[in-house]
Amino acid sequence: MLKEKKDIDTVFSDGLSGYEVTPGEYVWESLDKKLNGQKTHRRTLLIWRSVAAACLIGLLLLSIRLFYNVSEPYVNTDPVVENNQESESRVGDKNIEDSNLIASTREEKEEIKELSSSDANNLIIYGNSNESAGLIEVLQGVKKSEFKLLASNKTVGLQHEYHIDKQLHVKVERKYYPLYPSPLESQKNRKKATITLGGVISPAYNCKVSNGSNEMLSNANMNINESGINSLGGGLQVRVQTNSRWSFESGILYAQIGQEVNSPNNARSFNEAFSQAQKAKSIEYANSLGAIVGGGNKQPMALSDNMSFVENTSFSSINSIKQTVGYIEIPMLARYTLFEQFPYLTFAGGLSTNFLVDNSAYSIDNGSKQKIGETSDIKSFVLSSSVGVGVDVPLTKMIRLNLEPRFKYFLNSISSSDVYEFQPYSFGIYGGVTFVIR
Amino acid sequence: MDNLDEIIKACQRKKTSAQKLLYQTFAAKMFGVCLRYCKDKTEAEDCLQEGFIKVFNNIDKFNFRGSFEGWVRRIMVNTVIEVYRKKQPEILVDEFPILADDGREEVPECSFSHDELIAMIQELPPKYKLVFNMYVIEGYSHAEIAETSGISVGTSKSNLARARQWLKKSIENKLLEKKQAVC
Repeated sequence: MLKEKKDIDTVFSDGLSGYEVTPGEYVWESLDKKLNGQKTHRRTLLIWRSVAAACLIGLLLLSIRLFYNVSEPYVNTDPVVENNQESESRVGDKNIEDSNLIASTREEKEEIKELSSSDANNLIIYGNSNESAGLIEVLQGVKKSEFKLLASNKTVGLQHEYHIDKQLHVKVERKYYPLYPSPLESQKNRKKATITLGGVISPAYNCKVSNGSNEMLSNANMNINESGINSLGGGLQVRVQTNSRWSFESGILYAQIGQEVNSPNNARSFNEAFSQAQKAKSIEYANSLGAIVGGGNKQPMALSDNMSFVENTSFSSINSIKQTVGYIEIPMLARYTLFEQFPYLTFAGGLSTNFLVDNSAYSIDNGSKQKIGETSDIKSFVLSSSVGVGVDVPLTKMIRLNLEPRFKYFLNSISSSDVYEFQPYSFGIYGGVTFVIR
Repeated sequence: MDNLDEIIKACQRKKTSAQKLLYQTFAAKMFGVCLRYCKDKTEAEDCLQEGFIKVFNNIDKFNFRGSFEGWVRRIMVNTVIEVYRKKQPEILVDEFPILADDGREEVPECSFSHDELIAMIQELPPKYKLVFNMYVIEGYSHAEIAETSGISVGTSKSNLARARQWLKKSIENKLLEKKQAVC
C-alpha cells in the first residue's frame, strides 16, 4: 500500500474524479412536488396580477373621470350685467369681451368670435333659455332683435375628449418572486422586517351623518336636499411588514369631504334674484354643515330667506351649493393577513388624524361652479377611523400593487358650532403601487 | 429527446418530462458534488433539491455557449455556499491567525476508496471543507473562492493550508489503522 510520497491534492482530485452517487427516488418525487407547487403558485399569481391590473386600470379611469368632474371649470368672476343702466349702455360694446371671458378654451373663444363677428351688435348670453329669459326681458328695451341666445353648450361645441394611451402594456414576468417567505425561511429571517413606500390614489364617495333637526334646517322651513359628493384624494404611504401576520401603515394623504345642498322648489324669477344680488354681500344657505361666509365678510348674515346672493354671483337660477372641506390625513393603521396560505388578502383598521387645509363653498350654476366663500366654524383638527380589506399583489420582487376598498368614519362632528352636527363618512377605493425599500 | 440541447429547450418550456430526464442525467454527478460539501447524506439531498430547483427556474438564462454540466455544477456549489451562509454565517470567517500556504502536503503513496475519501473530507470543519473542495476538486482560484464565498484571499489560502494539514493527519491515521488491521 505504501510506496512513495504523493501530493495530497492529487490523492483527492484523482480519487474523486467522476465520483457519482445515485440519490434515492424520493428526492425526485419531492422535487417534482415542489416544481408542481411552483407552477400552481405561478398560475395563481398570474391570475391575481391580471385581476389587480384590471382593477388598477379601472381605478385610473374612475379617477380620471372623477378628477374632471370635481375640477373647477373656468369661471367668469366679472358680473355679466352689473345693473340695469350699465348693462344698457355697455352691453353693445362689451359683447365680444364678455364672450371671451365666458369661454374657457381657445376653441370656444374662436367659435364665439365667429358668431359675434357676423354681427358686431349681437350679444351672446351664455346659459339655458329658461334661465336667461329674465335677462332678455330686462334688456329687451335696448336692441332685443339683436340678441342672440346660445341655447346650450353644445351649440358652441364644448366637448372634451380624453385619450387613453393604448400602448400601455402590462409586463408579466415569468420569474416568481415570493412575497412572503416560506415558514422555514421566515424562521431564519425572524429579525428582518420589510418596509414598503408608495403612492396611492383614492376616489371616494362622501356622505354624512347629521342631526336632521338642527336649528338651521328647522329655521329654514324649506325643502332642503343634502347629498354626498365624489372626491379624489391620494398621497404617500409607508408600511412596515413584520414577519408575523401583522403589518403597520402610515403616510400622508389628502382627503376631501363635503356635501351638495339644493332646494328644488326654489326657482325664482331673474328680476327678484337680480335685485337681491345688488343688495347682498354674502350668501347663506340652510344646511347641516355650517353657514357660508364669503370674501372679506367673514360674518354670516342673518337668515331671512333660504338664500341671498353674493354680489358677483351670476344671475341665473342658482338653487344648489357645494361645500367642500379638504384635510391632510395621517393614518395609523394595523393590518392583518387573513389567511396564512393566501397572504395577499389583508384586513386593515385604525385611526387617522386630519388637519384642515382647504375649505370652500361653491354655487352650482348649470353644472359650472363658482366659489362664493367658505363654510364657517370648521374644526382645524379632527379624528377619523378607517377599516378596509386590501389586496396586495407582488408585480416583481420590489414592486407591489395595492388595492383596498376602505370605509372611513369621522369620530366627531367637523363643525365646532353647536348649531351644526356633521359627521362625514366615505367609501373609497385606495389603489397604488408600492416599492420595497428594505 | 436524447439530445441534451433538446432536453434543455424542453425544460425552458417548463415541460415536466424533460425536467425529469435532465434530473436523471445529472443527479448522480451532482449528488456526488453535494456529498463532498455537506456533512451528511440528508444535508446533501436538501442541497441537491434546492440546486435543481434553481437550475429549472433559471434554465432560461443558459445560452448554450459553455458546458451545461459546468453551469449546473456551479449552481450546485453556489447553493451549498448559500446554505453555509444561512445556517452559520460565522463559518466562513477564520478566527485563527492566517496560516501561510507553503505548498502542497505530501503523503505516502496510497489507495483509498471513494467512500473513504469522502468520509475524510466530510470530517473537515465546514470552512476548510469548502475551500479545499473548491480549490482542489473544482479548480477555483483563491480570488474566485474569495469572491464567491465572501472571505478574503488570505483566509482562503489559510483555510486550504489547514485543510491539507487536517487531511494529511486523517490519511496517516487511516494508514495506521490499516496497518494495524493487517498485523
